[in-house]
Amino acid sequence: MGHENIFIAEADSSNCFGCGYCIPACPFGAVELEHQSSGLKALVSADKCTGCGTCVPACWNGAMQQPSVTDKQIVQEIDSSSVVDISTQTDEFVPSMIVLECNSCSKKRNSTGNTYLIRSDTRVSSITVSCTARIKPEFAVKAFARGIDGVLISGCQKDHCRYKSANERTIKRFTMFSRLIAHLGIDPRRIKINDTTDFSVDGFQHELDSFINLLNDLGPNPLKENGQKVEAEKLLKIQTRFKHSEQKKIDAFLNEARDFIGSLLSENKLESILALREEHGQVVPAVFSSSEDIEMLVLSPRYGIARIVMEIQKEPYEGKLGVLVRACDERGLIELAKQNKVDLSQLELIGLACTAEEAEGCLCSKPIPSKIDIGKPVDLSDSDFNKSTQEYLDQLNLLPLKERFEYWNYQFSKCIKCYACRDNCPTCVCDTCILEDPIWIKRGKIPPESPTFHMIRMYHMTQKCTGCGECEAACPVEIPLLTIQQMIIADMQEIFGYSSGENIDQNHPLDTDLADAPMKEARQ
Amino acid sequence: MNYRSVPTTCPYCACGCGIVLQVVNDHITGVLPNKSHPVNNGKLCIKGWNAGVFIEHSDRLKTPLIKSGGKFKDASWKEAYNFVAKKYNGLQKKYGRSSIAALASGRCTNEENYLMMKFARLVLGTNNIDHCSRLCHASTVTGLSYSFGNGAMTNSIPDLEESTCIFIIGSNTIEQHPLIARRVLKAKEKGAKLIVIDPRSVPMAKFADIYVQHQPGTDVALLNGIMNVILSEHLEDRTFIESRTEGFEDFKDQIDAYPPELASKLSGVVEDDIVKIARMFASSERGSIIYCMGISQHTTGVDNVRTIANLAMLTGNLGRIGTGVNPLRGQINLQGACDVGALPNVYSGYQKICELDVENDEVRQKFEEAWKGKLDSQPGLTNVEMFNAAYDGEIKGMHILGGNPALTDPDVNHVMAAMKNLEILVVHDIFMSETAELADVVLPAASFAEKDGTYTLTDRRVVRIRKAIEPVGNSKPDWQIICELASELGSDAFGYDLPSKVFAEIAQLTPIYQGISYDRLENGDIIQWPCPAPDHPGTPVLYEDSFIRGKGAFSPVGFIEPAEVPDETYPLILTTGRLLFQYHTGSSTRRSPKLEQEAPEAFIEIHPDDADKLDVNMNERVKVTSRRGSIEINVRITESIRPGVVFIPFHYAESPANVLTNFALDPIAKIPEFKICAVKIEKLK
Repeated sequence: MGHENIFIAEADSSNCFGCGYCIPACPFGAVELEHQSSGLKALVSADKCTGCGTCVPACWNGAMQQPSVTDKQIVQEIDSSSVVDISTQTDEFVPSMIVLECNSCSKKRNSTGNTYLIRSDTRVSSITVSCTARIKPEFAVKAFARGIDGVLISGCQKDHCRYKSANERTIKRFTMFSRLIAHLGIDPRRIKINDTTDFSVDGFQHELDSFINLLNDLGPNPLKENGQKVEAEKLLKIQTRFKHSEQKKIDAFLNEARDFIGSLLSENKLESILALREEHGQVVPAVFSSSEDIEMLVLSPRYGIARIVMEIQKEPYEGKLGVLVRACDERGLIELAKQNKVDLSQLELIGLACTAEEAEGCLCSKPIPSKIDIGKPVDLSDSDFNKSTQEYLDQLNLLPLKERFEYWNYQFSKCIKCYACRDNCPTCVCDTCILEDPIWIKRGKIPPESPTFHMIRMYHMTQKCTGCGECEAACPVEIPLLTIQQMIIADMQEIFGYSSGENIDQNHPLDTDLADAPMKEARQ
Repeated sequence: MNYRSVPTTCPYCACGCGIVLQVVNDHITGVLPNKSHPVNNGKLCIKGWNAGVFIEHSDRLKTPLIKSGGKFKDASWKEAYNFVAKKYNGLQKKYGRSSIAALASGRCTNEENYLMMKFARLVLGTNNIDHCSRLCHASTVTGLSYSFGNGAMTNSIPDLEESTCIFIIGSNTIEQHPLIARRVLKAKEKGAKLIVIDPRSVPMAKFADIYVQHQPGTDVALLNGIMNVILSEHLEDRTFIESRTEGFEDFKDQIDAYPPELASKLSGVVEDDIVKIARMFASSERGSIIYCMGISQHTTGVDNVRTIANLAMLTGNLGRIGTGVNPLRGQINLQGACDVGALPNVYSGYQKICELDVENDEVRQKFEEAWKGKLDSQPGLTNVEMFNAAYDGEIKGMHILGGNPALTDPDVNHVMAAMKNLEILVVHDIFMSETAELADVVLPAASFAEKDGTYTLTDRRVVRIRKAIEPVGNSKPDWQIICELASELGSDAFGYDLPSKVFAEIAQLTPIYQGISYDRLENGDIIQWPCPAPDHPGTPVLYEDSFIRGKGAFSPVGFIEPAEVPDETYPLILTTGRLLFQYHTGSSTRRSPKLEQEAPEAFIEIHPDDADKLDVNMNERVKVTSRRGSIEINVRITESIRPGVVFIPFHYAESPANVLTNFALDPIAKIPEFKICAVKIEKLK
């Protein structure tokens, strides 16, 4: 390969903000971070880059691109796909599908002379990419939004990828993405990963036919019926269990916290501690630098502390900043440190354990910080809260897909595009955001395209979400966002044994190969 | 490290959400929603999240400017004050005291509006003081005062959640008051019924149990038709009518003239829907009416408001939680600017200068004693009247506190000609606005993040704003500018060193604010007026036992056509409004990239049927003309608007909607008819 390779990736330094997610994603070690005057920037070595494109989906804000096949081009192809128009020309349901296939497979099929198959089938459109690892699950969102009924991802078998382990990421990414769409009420079978070895005309025709038959059975993609009047009364009996934004004061460990933090300050163990302060009847994040005003320290209502630390650390300071953290705040800080946004070495974390009641209010199964300075840990084995959380999540999990879709469709229809789910999230901190990019989401429209807007954001949070609930806490229309986030957190745990924010050295599993982060046998 | 969180109030709409400015090394780095604020409970709309962006924008005015030879030159504060004082003195001597007029501002604090009105009345010696409430809720203040004795939202923002039926007319609540819309959606999720009436299918419409799209300007006819059904089906609240109201019989006679068939014919709403709305609202336990500029900005604005008051009284929906007549104020401190008397006919707290044309000596003397000076005993000019008088050469000088009438007032060509006709125009602003461009002196003001003060929210709730950073450049808070200018003009009644001292004076002279103080606000009290005493908790729900005027007054109101109706030459009705992502003339929002990118350009909404007739396409640039002027603008075809009606947001200087609008005024409240004028659309050659 090498120099004439048209698929070589490039990071747009004006959009790159140095999170480094692309580095483990590259099977060839071709990406590294470089200090530039405007900060850390990803740099692709043209010598090492093979053009697989695996790094492109690992870049959340679209800064990493293959200039010859950009996201924009692919999205435009999806948006202009004619298959939907054909399927709407008759009263009968004619399923439509899009094939996203890897260059190798396409070539192999060409060699057997069967490209004609796809081109001649009016129900099918196809887009060829370097490798399936180039395919962003967001493309599937766009395809569904376009009204396409199914997405077939056609690539090489697991051990036959010409880019080492690149296509192992495809399986991981789409496994998680399928889980997400299922939570939102879209049948996960609408996405199929096809790793065929049979490139004959008959073999491929069989794959297409069987998928088309499946789509025929599944019926029209539910996004097609969007925009109708929203009837959600019957579904609203499922009340969100999230209580974190309620204004009740939780004082369980307050005195202990004031004593502990007061003594750290009075004994000069720390000069500054970031915590919550109540003044003028308002609770705000504040830095305490003396034990004299320690009576103003409170523990609730909570603010997303990690993001505040990131802002503070943009200006250099001497010594260590103490930070009073709950378990989710600590996870947030670790996730930000993974993105090079927080320097943990300049922080001294003071751990506060949540009470069982607090944890239950956040549907949280991990309410214990790595080191407890204040409070007592919840007995995770004993408490009822796991059970009650599961019962709540099951109310949605056990709903038929159609009703799930209606429920979320109603919830998203309330969205006023404040971006608070993003802006209040302690770990969703890209400088630029694809949700503001008109190729993905139309600007200036409320509600934003549904469920596209929310699906993209939620998918972007799969590996970073700490379960703190700041998204839902800040949502003016109270979409139960944490509910989905907790489902995803459980999926990540189940499939990858991965929990975000636990270990700074742990790579994000969707961006690594199976050897680095294996997949357990996933339940379907 | 130098990190501070400063709890303050969002400077945009009158929801008045609590925000927490994030300050690192004395620069604003962001905004957090205030999680312990009773209005927004830790939630914000996109404007709130971006409220910190414009503060330190490079376009901020940093030094006073004096125009000479058509160009602005930097000046010192002393030079600027001196220049203005000389001019004002000269005008007063040459043309008399009523030759100068002042406009206060719904974006400035209570203290600043109070000082502006005190400055006008005491230093300039004129009651020619008004502000932009005239353009949005003058009819509310007048109409509700007539019906109830008080012109403000009767209930509280949080209490909307307790309603069992919410009736929204002429309010695009989701876009204009998102954090109030949140309460509506919550009520709906708890089982409340929702009725939405608007010529545009506003985002709230899709949540409504009944949505109807009426012809603009037919509100009285439609509401009278609804009330006709309520009466004919005996759904009215007899007990409330008998014990709490007067004038019912005359009112009923008027309503008898509006059977649903006629209401339907006039409003374009089908009879069946009129009946359904009547039954749904009248049979609900707690009905709350929300309205906004769709009701108020008409030549029949006062009639519309009184009709809404009639509906609330007829159904007994006043004085209880979850009920009420709830006009939503457009700007953060319009309520406050009215409360502190920045109006030509009242002092603070709506204490009238004249009662039915008879001078109110007692009130005037109270202010004369407190301020130690003589005051004019005749009401002054209203906002639009001021510009007319300037156009006619009767007003020679104007002092504008942070407003932008060159874009916001009706028929802006006329308004700009009026401003150019002045001998001196003084404008305070934080940016060089279209109005400031026309000024002789521009005084650079500090933004909301650079000063202390109070705002009064749409639900009469007095909240603090707090200084987070020092004023940018050489700018100064408006309260300080007014005090220093007053002193330059020889007054010693403006020796305040802190906004809290101004507030103390407001409380002392204003019965409805009497019990409110900075001390109480600092202790976390968030108080809704009336609050007559320091130990009074404030009044979340007005009129629990009686109205200010004793009994509520039913008004017989008949339907009157708008001032300008479509004809062959101008066949379409233009209505104007705002967008979620922009705010007024955009001086702040258009400098906030994340807001500007969502809605960067003006457009005219038009129904597909009309687009077909005119042969115009999506995004085609067209010429829109009214009797007052023309603009060019892009077409946006949408089924959400009523055929025959077009809509333009008024934010954009490139395509200023107010070139087209009609300056015809409501005869009593003097509010212009922004919501209706006749236009034609032509293809560009």
